[in-house]
Amino acid sequence: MTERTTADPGAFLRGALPHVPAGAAGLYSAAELHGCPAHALMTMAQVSPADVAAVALRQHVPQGQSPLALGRGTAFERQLTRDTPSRLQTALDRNGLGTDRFVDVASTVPMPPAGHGRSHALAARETATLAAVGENRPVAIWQGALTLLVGKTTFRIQPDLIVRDREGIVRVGEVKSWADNGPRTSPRALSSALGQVAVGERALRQAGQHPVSEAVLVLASPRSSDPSVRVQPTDREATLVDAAARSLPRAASLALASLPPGSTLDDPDAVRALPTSYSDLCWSRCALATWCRRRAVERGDPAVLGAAAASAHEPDRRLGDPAGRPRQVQAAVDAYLRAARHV
Amino acid sequence: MSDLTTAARVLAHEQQTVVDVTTTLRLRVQPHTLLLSLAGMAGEHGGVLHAFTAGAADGPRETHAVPDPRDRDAQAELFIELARVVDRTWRQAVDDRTFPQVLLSGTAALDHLAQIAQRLRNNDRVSDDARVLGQRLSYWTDRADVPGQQSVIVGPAALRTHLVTGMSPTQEEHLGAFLEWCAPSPLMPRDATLLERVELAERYATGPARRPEDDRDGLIPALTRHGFATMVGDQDEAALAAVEIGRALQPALRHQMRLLLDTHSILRSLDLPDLPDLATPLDPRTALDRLCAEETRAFASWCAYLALPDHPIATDDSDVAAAYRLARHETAHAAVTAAATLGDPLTREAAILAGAALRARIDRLESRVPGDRPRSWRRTALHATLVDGPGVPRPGETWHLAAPGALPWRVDTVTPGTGGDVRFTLSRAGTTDTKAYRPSTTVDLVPAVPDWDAGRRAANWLRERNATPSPWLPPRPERSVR
Repeated sequence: MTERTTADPGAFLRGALPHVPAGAAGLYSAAELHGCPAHALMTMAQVSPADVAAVALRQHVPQGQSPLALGRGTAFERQLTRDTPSRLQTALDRNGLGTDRFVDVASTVPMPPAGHGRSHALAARETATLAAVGENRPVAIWQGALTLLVGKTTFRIQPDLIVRDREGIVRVGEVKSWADNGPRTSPRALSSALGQVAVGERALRQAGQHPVSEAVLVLASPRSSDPSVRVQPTDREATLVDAAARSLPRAASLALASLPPGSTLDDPDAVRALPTSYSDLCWSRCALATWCRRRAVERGDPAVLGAAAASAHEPDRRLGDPAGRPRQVQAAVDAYLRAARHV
Repeated sequence: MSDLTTAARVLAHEQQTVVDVTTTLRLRVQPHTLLLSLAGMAGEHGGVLHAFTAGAADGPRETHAVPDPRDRDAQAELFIELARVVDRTWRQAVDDRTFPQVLLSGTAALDHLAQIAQRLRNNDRVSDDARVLGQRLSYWTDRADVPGQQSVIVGPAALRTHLVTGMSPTQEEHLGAFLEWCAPSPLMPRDATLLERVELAERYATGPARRPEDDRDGLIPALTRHGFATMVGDQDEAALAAVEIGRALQPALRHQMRLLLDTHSILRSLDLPDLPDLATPLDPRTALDRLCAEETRAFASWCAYLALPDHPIATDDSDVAAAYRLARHETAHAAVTAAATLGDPLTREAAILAGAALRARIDRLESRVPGDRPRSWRRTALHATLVDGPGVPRPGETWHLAAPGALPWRVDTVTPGTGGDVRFTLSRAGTTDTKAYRPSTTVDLVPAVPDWDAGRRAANWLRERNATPSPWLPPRPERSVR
């Protein structure tokens, strides 16, 4: 979990909500939902949509992973750093990403308990990370820290892995404890992992480094105790992240402009006044999805029927519009009724 | 998604009920379909099974669970139980000379089954029964990707083949939410609106993964107690904890099974005729009969292959497996699409809207013998004008009439007429019954008729070029030795 940042211009919006800055996963979700002003505002204000749902809308939306999954993940990561050279280094070497050094930033700079100078520890980790990357030697950096500036807001990113290989190519990596099932590996899970890497790449570029748009994914192997290493391009995810870095502050400003002065995100009236952009993507990325869908249904938003229906309707046309259905939709409905009558 | 499906969704949303998207049945639910609900364990590799409930819709169902599937011995015992259940279904299919069919709650359940299959089928470190289980599950998980296959019913996909709701396709993946559109569950509050029922249904998981709070509140405390009791050798405490683990897993398994029973009931009660095979009107078999026959043939081939000594099941990475799968998928997709476009009016309407089929008005029909040719060279020419859809024929193409017999017609000329019309002429050899082609009659034309043997020809072609035996090939016919 990331800590309080030095640049936090959205603090005035939080009210009684806890300060929960988005990490790499949250920022990538925000990038995927960049069309939603409400989600952009919550991201820039560094609050969790689940907290907004609970406090402002009185809706409890279960979040997080099962403790079994968290435990498995922790055990997997611990296994990777065992032995000298570490098992991770050995796996990287087997896949052509050989390194001479393994820098365990998390061990070098331990994290104190919450509220006891964690921001200083994160800053120290970032210094150690950038120093190791900047040495121009093959190195694998484990659990480093970076800073990402989005607009005027600072986010702390903690990439699992940064690798500078023997050819001097720098890549950011993610470690996941789920199994590498080849073509059957969940595309959604892969996309999320690649997205987190893309966020890390942007943070590294902001720090003056030049990582390539390739992710090093370290996954569990279904048939052995050694990890599986994949190198995959992140061009698509990087494009999305770069676009979001420009659009998120704008979208957040748009949402803010719709609120009366002095509003905070723990106020139900303020949250209900926020402009939203509902889509199917919301379900796996935002805790307000149920509430947004209900609102979309009440407003007759065609997005509730999916992307195809949304694109068949002009932007200002609604479901159940008394003026009638859009021409393309009406033609399709006529064709459907005609065919159904022929049966 | 076609415009027709979008239209159906709009209507479903307006009417607040499901709407048909086919007029013919694409799936034949077998009498002994195995309903299988699965429970995995969060954080573990796929292929870990914590519990399952299985049985036929109108028969007894059994539930089996182990306290901790991370214990290899316990997991092995559970796989033996699953092997026994699958074996029953397998033998029933062999005895009935048909194929084993399984009903699952969603793609997550199918993926889970695939991971169990992959874990077991070539694994020398498991028992023979577990290895056979892996091979048998591989039949289902391998067939699941084949268009028109009848072995694996994935609930939301099977329902969506015949019905749509007023939700998005992503939301329809939640089987509970989909079923609320079909009929309110008796467990729902009576005065709840459809949206409220859907929201309630969506709070519950429908696949092998449970909600994190269910693990936190119920399962993990019992797992911890069981682990500790096992470590210190307290058998009684371990047994008590095992019972609590089973109780923690029960609600999700029961809920999943309820959804499967409702899905089974809806699919059995769809009052639709089988998808016909209009291309061969003299053959009494429908297209659905042919798909079931193909499934039976594939199952027989798989069984024959498993009976061979020392057969390796080709892995997902194998080039041979990839080539077979690709050929099989393409040929099956072509056959099923052609049959549906030809035989189902709603599907054909969608094809016309998409430009993949044509609708034309007949202007005139003429029968002529070209030049000084003999009478056997007689050709019938059809002059027509397109009246619907964006599709346009091209000279040299062959189109088939969407009627019994599916007569093929060759496009001779295409001419844009005045006022934006597209006129074209079709011809075919011989004479044609003129009654069906009166001027001003509207006819539909489809691009292809189903070729049910294309898959077998492709597989035979590949087999000739690969010495490796494969479970996906038809058995080589026995040659008599004189």
